[in-house]
Parts: sequence; C-alpha cells; structure tokens
Amino acid sequence: MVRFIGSRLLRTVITIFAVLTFAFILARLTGDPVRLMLPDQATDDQVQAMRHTLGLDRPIVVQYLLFLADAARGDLGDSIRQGQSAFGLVLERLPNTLELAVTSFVLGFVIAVALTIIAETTGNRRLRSAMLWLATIRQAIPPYLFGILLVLVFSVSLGLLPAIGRTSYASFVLPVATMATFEIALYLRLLMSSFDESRSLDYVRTARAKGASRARIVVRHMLPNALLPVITIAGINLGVLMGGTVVLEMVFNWPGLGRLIVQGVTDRDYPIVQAGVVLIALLFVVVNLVVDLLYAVLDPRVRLS
Amino acid sequence: MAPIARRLLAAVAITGTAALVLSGCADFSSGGSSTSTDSARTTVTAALVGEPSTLDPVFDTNLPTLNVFQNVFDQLTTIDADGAVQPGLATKWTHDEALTTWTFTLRSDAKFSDDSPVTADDVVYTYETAMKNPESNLGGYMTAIKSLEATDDTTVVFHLKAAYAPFDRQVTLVSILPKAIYEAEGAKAFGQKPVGSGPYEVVKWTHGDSITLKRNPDYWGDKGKYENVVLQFVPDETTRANSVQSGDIDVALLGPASVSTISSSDAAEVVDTKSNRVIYTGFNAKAEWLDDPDFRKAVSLAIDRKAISENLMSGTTEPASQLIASVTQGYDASIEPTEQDVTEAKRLVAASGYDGSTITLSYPTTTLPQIQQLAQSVQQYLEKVGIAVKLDGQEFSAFSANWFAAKFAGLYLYAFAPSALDADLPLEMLLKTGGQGYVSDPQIDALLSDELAESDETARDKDIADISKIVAAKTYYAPLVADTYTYGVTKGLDWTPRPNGMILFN
Repeated sequence: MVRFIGSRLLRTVITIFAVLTFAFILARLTGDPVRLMLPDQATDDQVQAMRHTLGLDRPIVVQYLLFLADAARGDLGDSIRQGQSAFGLVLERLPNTLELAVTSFVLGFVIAVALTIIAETTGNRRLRSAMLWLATIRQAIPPYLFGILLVLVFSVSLGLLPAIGRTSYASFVLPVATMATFEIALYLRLLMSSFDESRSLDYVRTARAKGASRARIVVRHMLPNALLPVITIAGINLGVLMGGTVVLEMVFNWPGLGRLIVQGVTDRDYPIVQAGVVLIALLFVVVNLVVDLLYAVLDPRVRLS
Repeated sequence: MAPIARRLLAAVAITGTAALVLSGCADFSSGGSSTSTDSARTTVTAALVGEPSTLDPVFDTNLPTLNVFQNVFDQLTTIDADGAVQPGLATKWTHDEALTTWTFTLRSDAKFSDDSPVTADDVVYTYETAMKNPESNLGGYMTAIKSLEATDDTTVVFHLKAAYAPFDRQVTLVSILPKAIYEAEGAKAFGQKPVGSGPYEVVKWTHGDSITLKRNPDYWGDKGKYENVVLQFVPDETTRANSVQSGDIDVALLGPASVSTISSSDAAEVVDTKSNRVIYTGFNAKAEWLDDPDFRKAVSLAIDRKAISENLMSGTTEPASQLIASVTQGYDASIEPTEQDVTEAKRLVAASGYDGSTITLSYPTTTLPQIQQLAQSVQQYLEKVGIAVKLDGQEFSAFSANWFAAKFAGLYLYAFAPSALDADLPLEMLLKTGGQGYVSDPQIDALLSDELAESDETARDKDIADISKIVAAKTYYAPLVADTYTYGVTKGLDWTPRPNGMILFN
C-alpha cells in the first residue's frame, strides 16, 4: 500500500512539473501584453519601461527558470493586469466554479443511479430504451448550445429565471441543469451497459436461483459491481467538469475560474493563465489520486497487484 | 459488497450536501435588477464588455474602465452627447497664442465624496503622479505635457512641450484624484474602492461579476438619474443580447448579429448613436503593387461600402469617406464616400501591370464587428476586379503588435476610435512620416504640424480636411464604414448614448 501511494505521489509531482512547463510555453507562444495595456499614444520608451518592469525583456530561458524557481516556492507570480498574486486571484474564483461542478456532478450521479435502479427493477424495456435515447440525444448537444437553448426558453421567453450572473439561488438553476443533464446522460449509459454485462454472470444467477427479489438483486448484488468501473470514469470526469465549466461560465456569465482564464488569455495575462491551468491540473491530479486509492479500498484485486 | 455501495452512496450524498451548504454560505452580489416601472425605478443595470484591472485611474485606461471612471470621477472637461467639449471641473480655460500654455479655472463647489473640496492641488497631484510613474498607463495620455502648476486654489497652468490644439479634449481622459485620500490609502487600496467627485460613488466591486454604484447626492452638476447603478461585466455578445431580453440587464452594447432579435423583442428596444469609430482598409504602401496609388485606388473602388453597411452590418454602420467619424473634431462633410466602380477598378488593375500574384489581407479575428465576414467580403470584392487575395486572420494581441510595428505584408483591416473625439491622434498615428503607418508625405506632415499649432478652430478644421482630401486622392487608406454604438435597452428606460461609447447615467 505504501509503495502504491508512493508511486502515485511521484507521478503526481511529475505531472505537475509537466503542466507548469506546458503552461509557460503556451502562454508565451503568442503576443506581447504591453501594447494592449498602454494607451495608443504611449511612446516607445514607455513601452520599453513597462516591458522591463514585467521582466519580459529577459531571455526566454531565464524567464522559464525564474518561473520554475518561483513556482517551487509556491509563487506563481503577480497578475500583469491586476498586480495581485495570480494564484490568489485564481483561488478567489475557485469556489464559484466548484459549486457549479460539484452540484452538477452530485445531482447527475444520484439521479443516474436512481433512474438505473428504476429501469432495472421494473424491467420495463420501453422505459429503458427511452432513457437511453434521451441520454444519447442530450450527449449529442454541446453544452454551449444547450445552455443558450435553456436561456432562450426559461429566461427570454418565459422570464422565469435569470439569464446571467450569480445573484441568487435561482441563478444556479440553468447552469446546473445544463451540466447535470449531461452528467445524468453519461452515467446512465455507463451504468446501464455495466448492468448488461453483469446480468448473465454467475452471482446474479445464483441470487436469482436463491429466490431473491428483483429489487434486492439489483440494489444489493448488481449495483455495487456496476458502480466500480463508473468510479474511475467519475474521477476523470470530475476533473473534466472543472475545466468544462469554462463554456458554461461564458454562457451564463458566471464569475468562476474558467472565465478568469479565458479573460487572461485575451489580455495576455500569463500569470493568470499559468496559475489557472496549474490549479485545475492540481485538482485533476488530486481527484484521480483519491479515486485510485478509493479503488484500492473497494476492489481487493487492485491492492494485490 | 452491499455495505460498500451504501457507503459510497452516502459519501456522494455527503459531498453533495457539503457543496450545497458551501454555496449557501457564499454571499450573492448585485441583487439583480428590479423590474419595477420606470417612475419608481431606483436601480439600473448596464453591461460592461470587460472588467477593470483596477479602479485606480493612474493604472487602467481600457474603455470599460474609463466608463466606470466617467461615472465616479470628474475630469477637467467632458464630452457631451453631441461630441462637443463642455466644462467639467474647469469652468473655463484659455491658452496662449503659441498653444503651449493652458490655464484652467476650476469650480469651487466640487467636492469629493468624503466632503473635501476639489482643489488645484488635487489636479496637479493627479497629473504628476501619472507622469512620474513609468508604469502608469494614464501617463500615456500626457506625453505632450512638460510641467504643470497650481497658481492658486482654483487655477492650474499646464506647460506643453509643443503646441497641442486639442489639449482641452485630451484632458477629458484624465480623472482627478483626491490627493489626501490617495496618499493615505496607497494605490492598491484606492484601486479597490476609489473615491472621486463624480455623479456616482463606488459601493462595492465584486470581482468577476460587477461594480455597484450609488448616487452622489451632493454632486455639483447633473445628478445621477438612478439611486443605484450596477455595472455588470459581460464580455460575450450573445449573452449580453439574451440578458437584455430577459430583463437581467437594462443597457448592453450589441453586435450587428443581435440587432434584429432585440428590435422584435417585447422587453427591449434598440438605441443607437453615431460613434467615433471608423473601420478602414490599410495598405503596406511599401509592398509590391500597393506602392502604386492607382492600384490602391482600384482596391478602394472595388469595395461596395453600401452593401457592407446594409447587409453585413445590418444597418449599424454607414459608408465612411475619411479616417475620422462625423462626431470627431475635424470631420469634413463635403468629402463623399467612394462609390463602388468595378469597371474603373478593373481598368486601373490592368493598367498597373499587376501579374496576379497573391496579396495578403490581415485582420484581427476579434474586437471588430462581423470581422471574419467583412474580411471575406473584401476578398470577394477584390477578386471580382482581378486581385488575388489571401486571408490572414491574426489573434488580436498579435495583430495589434504588428499594427504598432508596421509589419503587415499587404492589406489589412482595422479601426480607429479616438476617445477624445479629435482627429489629431488617428491622423498623427496613421499618416505621419515615421508613425506606425506606411505613409510618408511631406505635405501631410506639414499640415499635421500646422493643425496642432492652429488656435483658430475653423482654420484647424480646414487643415484636417485638407489631410483627409490628400488621403482620398492618393488612397493612402481606404476608409470603409463608420460605426454606430448600438445598444439593447429596456423599453422606456431614460438613457442617452454617447458618441465616445461611454454608458453614463446623469
């Protein structure tokens, strides 16, 4: 177990180093922020002075080494536009993104499990295939489009819910609905195919032969096994969700991490982009580490190998 | 197995509850706009297209930020809804014959929102702070100033490095700081919750979301029309249009694509005003073929400006005749926009000996309305007269850097919108020898220095008009369309747009 955790931690460190390097290169590939910051009349001397204070006049290798040295000390630099700690600014927005991602994830997961149990226990084939069709259709619509459709119906036409911002609990409804329906579709399809695989397995036949009720077989015997592969996907997906809310945050003007990063890209605010990418990568890595460990706890075969 | 499943579901449920509790703890901003009738309306919500980096006027000069400053601070002079200069903190101003010494007389009844009076010292402090700090963006507006001094409590004298005729317009961009408060708090703290002497005060800045203002009841001039103003940051154009229709926002800048939706909406209407922005085609006049004035003329003649304005821009622009818009000082109404003339364009192309080699058309992929479609239209118009064009869309910051460094391969599309609504800045930048453009014309250079030193407005306007006529004759640029600022506005809202794109509520 110690070796298992140790190797996962080492992998985490390497991943973060790679992400830092990637974030650095990506952010510097295009554009110089200085001209965007200064008024049109600014003289060349003013431009040079600004480049110097930002350290942009140094060789790229020196910039990279300084960046790594600072990052190792937990300092990802100050935002070029706002002059405050980039990591601080990014952290300030994190809760707003987490609340969308986690709420959508939990709602999606729970509803998908509930729907699967209903479909399996009733054994209604039509209900089952209707659910699968709806799930496929929902997965086929991109979140951006689905979000705008919801806004057009519920905000613009019906005037029931706010179209943008994060001003009240009502503001959560549309973005969460956009994301959660996608999550429901994802897990519903995964769980159902998982169930398909286990239906003819020995332990299910044994349980049936024993005379266990259908509901009991589904909930107590089949569900735990069906959930195992889903956990891995869920771990990866929770990380994807963190990045995936970027689109939602643009559509619903949600003051989250994703919109901050997009703005950072537009403004050539390297430190914000770097800090944002590193934070999302960290979360992704941590969630996956937790999932790996959880898996080891739940499935003895992983522990042994 | 079964207990594990139960534990797992329990864990998910607990995480979920925790998330909901966490979000429950968070406080909400702005509180949403009220949908009360206009007479009882106390709160109005407007969309800004970007978020300020700081509310310290010394360090941010982007348009959305200037928009906040125009509501919260006073400037020496202001620009009215027709584009004319009006008194601000200064009640009157004079200059010497050489246009290098400018004297501004301040009003005595202006107060910062902490009740301290606005004095000449505050004005001098503001300018000097920005001029002394090489990191100050605002300092970029002050390159013409040599020094300034307060001769008494209400008089400020500026000494300029050279004659600068539009100086009374240039000062509209500089918001006056309260010296005592700024020094006591420091730039960082001041930038989060600034204190000004304008018609509104900053109540709260919720990062990533909005800035909330409240009316300054003691304002010396036209008081705020609404008790509360919420300026919400909404960068996405479609989102802005949707939120005007849903009533979440009362005033939002629109793009051509959203105009027809808003005009057929029950909740909102379209309000527009002529803008200071002109979209033009530029030439690298040193590149092969484009160094020939007749070839450039052919490019200009090939383009149908009316069709672009009416169809592509949904009527939100009109054909442009010169590099400055009609609201800008120096505009000459007698110059006509170039009409499309395919036959003449073809003749000029043939006469130039053009061999069919491909000419690059560069453009920024964002920040201009319908820019991708506009670039494609220009490409098609030019191909109709036999000019082969390759499109080169560049990411905005890269494009902007190329523009400053004059590094375009051939043709380019861009726009100029001088915030001070004066012709000098765009013409200096685009036309002066050694400027960022590709033009080197001694006649224009002479007119530019004349114009800056001309104290008589009519004579100065004539100099500028002469420049515009040379530009048209030699086709140094092909001005395409003059833009409007088009807004979606809640029906019945009492609000007037401004030609410099500022959203003001007093």
